[in-house]
Amino acid sequence: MATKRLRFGWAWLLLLGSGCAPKQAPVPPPAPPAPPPKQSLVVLLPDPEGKPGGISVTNPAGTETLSQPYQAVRVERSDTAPTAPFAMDQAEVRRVFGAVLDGLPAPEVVFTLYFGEGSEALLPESQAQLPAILNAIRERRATAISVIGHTDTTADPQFNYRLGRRRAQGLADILRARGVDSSDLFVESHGDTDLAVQTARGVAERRNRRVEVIVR
Amino acid sequence: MPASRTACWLLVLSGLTFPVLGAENVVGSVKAAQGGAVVRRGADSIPAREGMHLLLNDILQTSADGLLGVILQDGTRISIGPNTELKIDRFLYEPAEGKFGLLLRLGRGVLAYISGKIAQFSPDSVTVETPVGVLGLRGTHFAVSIEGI
Repeated sequence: MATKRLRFGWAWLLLLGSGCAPKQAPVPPPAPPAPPPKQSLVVLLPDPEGKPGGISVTNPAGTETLSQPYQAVRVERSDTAPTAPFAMDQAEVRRVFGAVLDGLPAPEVVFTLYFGEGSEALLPESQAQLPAILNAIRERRATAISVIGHTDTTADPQFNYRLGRRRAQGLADILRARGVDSSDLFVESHGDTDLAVQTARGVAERRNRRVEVIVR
Repeated sequence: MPASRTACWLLVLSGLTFPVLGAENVVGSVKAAQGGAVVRRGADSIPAREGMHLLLNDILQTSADGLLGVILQDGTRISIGPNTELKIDRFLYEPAEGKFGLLLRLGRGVLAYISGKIAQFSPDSVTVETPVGVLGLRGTHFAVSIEGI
């Protein structure tokens, strides 16, 4: 009986989940004090490239749209409508979000290297970019490096897919030989599906014969 | 991993015209980890560390002193603050096939976000679900804090 009671007491402690649980025998728990109304907050911030942006905030009780930088809405619960958008003070944005905003990683860096017609060999001026690529990988301690091969539209799509793949693989091999971990290299081919310069089929275009190296 | 790489090559050689993603379907990587920060993957809870690869369905979780900075494979940048839980629920980035999608579920805490190429290619395909509502993003930079949940 005593142990049963004891166990009961522990259950209450757990239920209350706070340091101020009553030590006496079970009594109905007091109604929890009404918490202050806490509100979630969504704020739109200036696009780093200055492009216009927007956010819609939707729940079963309503929708609001933010369309200007530093516009914000508060939402209390999923069943209460978001407030009307209001202008948030920049200092207040810093106060609430400073740590996470400072924690945003640097943007990825993209290098584009070019190839001769139908060739898997890098053009000399592109070869010269290799040190900059390796440097970016080292500086950023990048572990996710995409190497994406592309071609022009000279040959058929299947051939181009494979050529793009060989171009990318060749470059990945060079990076690996210079110390980049192969598990950090993500090799892809987009063949002729993602042209830098739009052309008709069967057009040799230097700017489309490329490998993009994306360092994150 | 060598096995999947071989499989990768076999697919390529068999004339498949779709890009085959990196061996393990990596969706992103950790750029910074501070304090208590873990990645929950299935039943595992892995301490988050810089450079770690992230997979689909990973849940990023921080304690009271935790911070995590992450970059996804499309260039989307994410930062989460203390006491936060964020799941990478959907990540689809296949430009060659025109397939795009990103769904993040913010269970609690604080999130800052700068959009990447998924939002650039397909502005309506990025969504953040929170306990108080759904955020539809149009290629942009924002922050959200979830309180009182």
